[in-house]
Amino acid sequence: MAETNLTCTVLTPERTVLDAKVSGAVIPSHDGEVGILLNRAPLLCRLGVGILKIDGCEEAKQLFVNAGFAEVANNKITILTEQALMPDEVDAEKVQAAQEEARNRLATTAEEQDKRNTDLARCAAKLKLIGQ
Amino acid sequence: MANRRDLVKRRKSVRNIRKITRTMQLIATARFQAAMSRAIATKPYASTMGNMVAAAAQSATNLDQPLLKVNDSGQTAILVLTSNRGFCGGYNGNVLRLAMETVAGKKSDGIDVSLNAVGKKGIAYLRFLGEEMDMQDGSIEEQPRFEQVSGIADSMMEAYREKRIASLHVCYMQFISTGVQKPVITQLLPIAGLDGAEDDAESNGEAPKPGTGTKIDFSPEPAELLDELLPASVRMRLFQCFTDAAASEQVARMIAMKAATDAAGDMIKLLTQKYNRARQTAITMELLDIIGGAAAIS
Repeated sequence: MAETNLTCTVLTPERTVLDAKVSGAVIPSHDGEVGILLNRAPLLCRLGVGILKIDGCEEAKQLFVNAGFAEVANNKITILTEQALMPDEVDAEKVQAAQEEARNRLATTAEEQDKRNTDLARCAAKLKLIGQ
Repeated sequence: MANRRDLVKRRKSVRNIRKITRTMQLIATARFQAAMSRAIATKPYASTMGNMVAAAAQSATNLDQPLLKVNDSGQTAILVLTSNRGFCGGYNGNVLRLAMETVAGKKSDGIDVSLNAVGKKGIAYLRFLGEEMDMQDGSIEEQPRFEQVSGIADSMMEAYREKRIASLHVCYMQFISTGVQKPVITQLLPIAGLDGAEDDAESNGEAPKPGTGTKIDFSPEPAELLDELLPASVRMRLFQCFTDAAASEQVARMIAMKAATDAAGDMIKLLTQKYNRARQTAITMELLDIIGGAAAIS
C-alpha cells in the first residue's frame, strides 16, 4: 500500500464525517471524476452527486457525496458537502422507494426534469455505494 | 391553628415546584451540551467555506453576482430567531426587544420592513403587537437541521434576486460563551466585504487562505464557482445563526431554572421559619392557658 501522507477531511454543516490520513482519493467533480495524489497542484472544484473513493484509509473506502465543493492545497483534501453518507448509513429500501417515486414523477418543465434527473442520479449513486 | 396548616401546605407545594424546576435545569444542562457541540461542529465547515469564497473571489475576473450587488428597491427583511418554548428567562424578550428597536428605527427612516419570525414565542409576540409577518415558522425544533434552514435561506435568496427585499438581517442571540450571550442583528444579504477578499477573511477572524499566491486550478471558472459558493455560504451562515440561537436558548433556560430552584429553596426556608414560629406561639399560648387555669384553682 502506498504511503498515507495526504489528509482527507469530509465536512458537512452539521458534523465532520471523516478526518483521516489517506494515500489518494477520487473526487466526484461536477464534470467527471478527479484523482488526487500526493503533491497535487492546488485545486478548487465544484462537486457533483457521486461517490468519493478513498485509498489507504481504514475507516472508509467510499462515501456518498451530495454535491458541494472540494479544495486541495498543501496535500490536504477538504470536501464540503451538504450531505455525506457512509455505506452503512444508506437505507436501501428508502432509496429504492425514492428512486421509484422519481421515475414515476411527471416532469414537464425543464426545471422539473432537472430536479428529477438529479434525484435519480442521487439514488443511483447511493445504490451503487451499497453495491446494488 | 389554621395558619399552621396553611403554611405546611404552601411549603409542600413550593417543594414540588423546586423539584420540577431542578429537573428542568438538569434537562436544559444536558440539552445545552448537545447544542453547544452542534454549534462547534459547524465551525470547520464555515471557516473552510470562507477560505474558498475568498480564494474564488480573489481570482474571479468579474464579481457580477446578484447576491453581492446592493438592491436599491424592496423592503428590508428582518428574520427574528426565537424559541418555541418558554421558561427561558429573558431570552426571547431580549431578542425581540432588539428586533423591535431595529424595526422602529427603520420605519422612522421611512424604510419598509418585512418581518419574518422563526419560533413560536416570537410569532406570538409579533401577532400580539399586530405586526404583519411575511413568513412564520414554528416547526423548527431545538436541534435545527440543515435542510430546514437551507430552505429558509433559499427562499430569502430568491426574494433577494427578484429584488423583493433590499437586504436581509438576522436577529438572534449570539452565543459567545457559556456565561455571555448577546442579542445581535447581522446582515446576511447583500454579502458584505467581498470586494476585498482578504478583508473579508480577516474581518471574520479566519486564517488567511493556505497557499495564497500559488496558482489554483479552478473547475469551473472562479466566477461560475461563485454562483454556487455564495448561496452555499449564505445557507451556512444562516445555519450558524440557528445553532448559536439554539445553544443560547438552552443556556438561558439553564440559568432561569437555576434561579427558580434557588428562589424556591429560599422560600422553603422562610416558610419553615414561619411555621416553627407559629408552632412555638401555639405551644406558649397553650401553656399560658394551663398555668392560668392552675393559678385560678389554687
